[in-house]
Amino acid sequence: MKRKECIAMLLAGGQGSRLRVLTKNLAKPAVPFGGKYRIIDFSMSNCINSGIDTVGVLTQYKPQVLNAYIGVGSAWDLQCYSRDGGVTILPPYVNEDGGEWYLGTAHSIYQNLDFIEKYNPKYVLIISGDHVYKMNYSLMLKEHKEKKADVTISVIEVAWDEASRFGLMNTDEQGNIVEFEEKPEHPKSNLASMGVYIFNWSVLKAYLEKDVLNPESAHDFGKNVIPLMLQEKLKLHAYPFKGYWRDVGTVESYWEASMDMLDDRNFLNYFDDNWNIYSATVMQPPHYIAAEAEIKNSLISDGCWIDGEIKHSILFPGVLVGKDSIIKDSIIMAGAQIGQGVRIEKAIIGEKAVIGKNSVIGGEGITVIEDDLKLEDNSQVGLLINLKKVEKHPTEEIKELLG
Amino acid sequence: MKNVMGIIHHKKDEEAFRELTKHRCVAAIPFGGKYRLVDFPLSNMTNAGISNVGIITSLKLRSLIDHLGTGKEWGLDRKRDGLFILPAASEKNKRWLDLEDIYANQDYIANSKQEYVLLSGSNIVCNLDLRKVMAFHSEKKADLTIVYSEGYKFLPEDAASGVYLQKGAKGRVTDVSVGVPTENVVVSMDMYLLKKSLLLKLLNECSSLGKCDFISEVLPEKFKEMKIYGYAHEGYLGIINSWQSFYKHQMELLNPKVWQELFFAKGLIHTKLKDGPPARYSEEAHVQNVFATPGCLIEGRVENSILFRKVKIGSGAVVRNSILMPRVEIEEDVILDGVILDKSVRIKKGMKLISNKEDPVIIEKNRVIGGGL
Repeated sequence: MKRKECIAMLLAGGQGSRLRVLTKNLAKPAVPFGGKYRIIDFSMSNCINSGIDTVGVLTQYKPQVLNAYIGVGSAWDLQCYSRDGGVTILPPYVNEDGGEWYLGTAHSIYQNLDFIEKYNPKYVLIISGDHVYKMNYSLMLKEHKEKKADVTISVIEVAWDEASRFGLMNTDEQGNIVEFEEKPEHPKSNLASMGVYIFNWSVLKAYLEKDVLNPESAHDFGKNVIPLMLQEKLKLHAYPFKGYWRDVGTVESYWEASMDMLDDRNFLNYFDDNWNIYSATVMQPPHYIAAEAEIKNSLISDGCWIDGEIKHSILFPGVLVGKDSIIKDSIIMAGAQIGQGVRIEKAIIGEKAVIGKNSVIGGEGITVIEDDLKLEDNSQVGLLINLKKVEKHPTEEIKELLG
Repeated sequence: MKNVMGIIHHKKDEEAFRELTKHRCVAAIPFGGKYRLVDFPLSNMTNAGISNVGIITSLKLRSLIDHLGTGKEWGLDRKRDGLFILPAASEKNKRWLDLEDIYANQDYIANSKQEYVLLSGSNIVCNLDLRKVMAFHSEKKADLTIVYSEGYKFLPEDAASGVYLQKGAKGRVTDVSVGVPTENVVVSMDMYLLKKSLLLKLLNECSSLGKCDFISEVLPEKFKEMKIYGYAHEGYLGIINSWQSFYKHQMELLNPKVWQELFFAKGLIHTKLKDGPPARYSEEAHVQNVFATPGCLIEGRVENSILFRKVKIGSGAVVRNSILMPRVEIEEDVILDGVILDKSVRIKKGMKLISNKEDPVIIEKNRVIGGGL
């Protein structure tokens, strides 16, 4: 095997329980995002766009959808065959001495030492599959080499009042990390770790082997490995990332990051041909906007049929929206069918959910309707405030469409 | 239908498409927002389980080859059988169905394992279950089955390029005529199902007797000796013979029933998959009766139109009754009505292009209109 300078290990085993029913059937990296992507697309696309052609994807929690989605990796030009590298899915496994689940992020990498050794890389990039961002890892690697660091951790400035949600880095003037605090109550810094690390492979390997012997350890990079490296005076460098980055770990942050896609400031610049966000596209005809429909400030995917009013919302492929329905500030997943005269506000409607006519969904906070749920006509979910009643004119056409 | 191979022959009258075929063959003409014409016969074949398809093309085949690739989207990237590009014998002969082109590729046909051949034109827009045609062919013990449409009406411009069939008793076809519709004729859909051995025999005759146009020279003589049947297609049909029918049939897609039938009813029409974000509509967008596709950025007003991938429409612009192909850019305050803009055309700020809906304007690929020299 040809030696690789840098390979990526993508942590994709998380459950993401704070995403509520969105992760009922699939792992967090497989959660659909932005009208056609899944969250993992951002990290995968960053890899190939940064020139990293070898990616190990560590899976554990409900991996079927994710595995099927990744396939052989061709959606990101990371074909696992006929190429030196590509994507490899790495689930927990058993060997002669038995086996165990991945106990933590560091442990999952430790379990795959053989995989990394096969490529004998100089550097290992550790990333996670649950962040929305566009980042050129090669610039970070360049700085890692220039600073002659053992470890480089990518950091981003966050608002002070939110800082206590993150793992925070205190740095000196040269950008060396002097202290690491995991979700502190009283933050001393607002530089949050983005969960993007570059390690010198020899250093990482030594510390993983040390960590696994410690029975007290939770085998986690943030909690155990990084603090131990700091304690032992390794050179840890903070790489400041300037750009858009969102952790979509909760329903609220997922919804907000989705709505950011509709912001005129265009944080993600997802129309940029020079940094495509690749995804496994499914075949659907173009979407159709009927004569009485109204679409404002929205993202609409292939195969949608829209006869109602869509405002500030994101529609995934194959969504049907009946006449006189109003959808506002919402995210409608693939294949959902919205009947006539439905009012949806600030909600997330799951895949293939069917919403009966004249239903009203939404309220304070974000309402989430799970996949495949069938709501009767005139259903009410959530407490809607100040919603005007809409007049209804049923038409035969859309009735047929909705079966 | 593992026992049937498909051959998509090419439409040789490219002039009827004006600027649209300047850089591409008819099979590769973009259609319906994200397709090319060849997607329809090709998807009909693969949806029915045909896994060996040869496509005859003219020399303008760059965009067609780029589009088809390895045939992956149609499940034709296979070890056994698959997709084959077959060069035409000549560019010159404007025959209805040129047997010489097929004769030039007869090794491919002879070496294929299938017993039957389905021939189809590349410009037939429909969603048809070919398994039913095969069942009909077997049931009738026919030598040749021709697919036709009963009520299809050509545009006046296209009537002369139509092939018409005379129906006899019990599904038989008794005569064929070209260009001139007479009473009680039906319209041939340029799809023929026959045994491979019979096709090879016809190809031999073509080479020895010089009768190379299947429609005008071969078929009229065969009604006595062969059992020729007609299979009626009842669904939506568009025979794209000219730039006029290219425009008219795309406008028909804006009818919900047509959309539903063509793209969802019997099987999906497949096409080359491309990455791109969902279409983005701004706060000022005003869109009615429109087909749109990924990567479109819409800030203006659009009505009764088809927008291919990555079309940009600036604020204050108005687009009506138009077909905008991939990467067309419409700047602010432009007014368009009844235009066909080929790929990557750019209309500069404030321009006005208005034409009669019956006679749309075509702007050639990569042109920039307005803004001085």
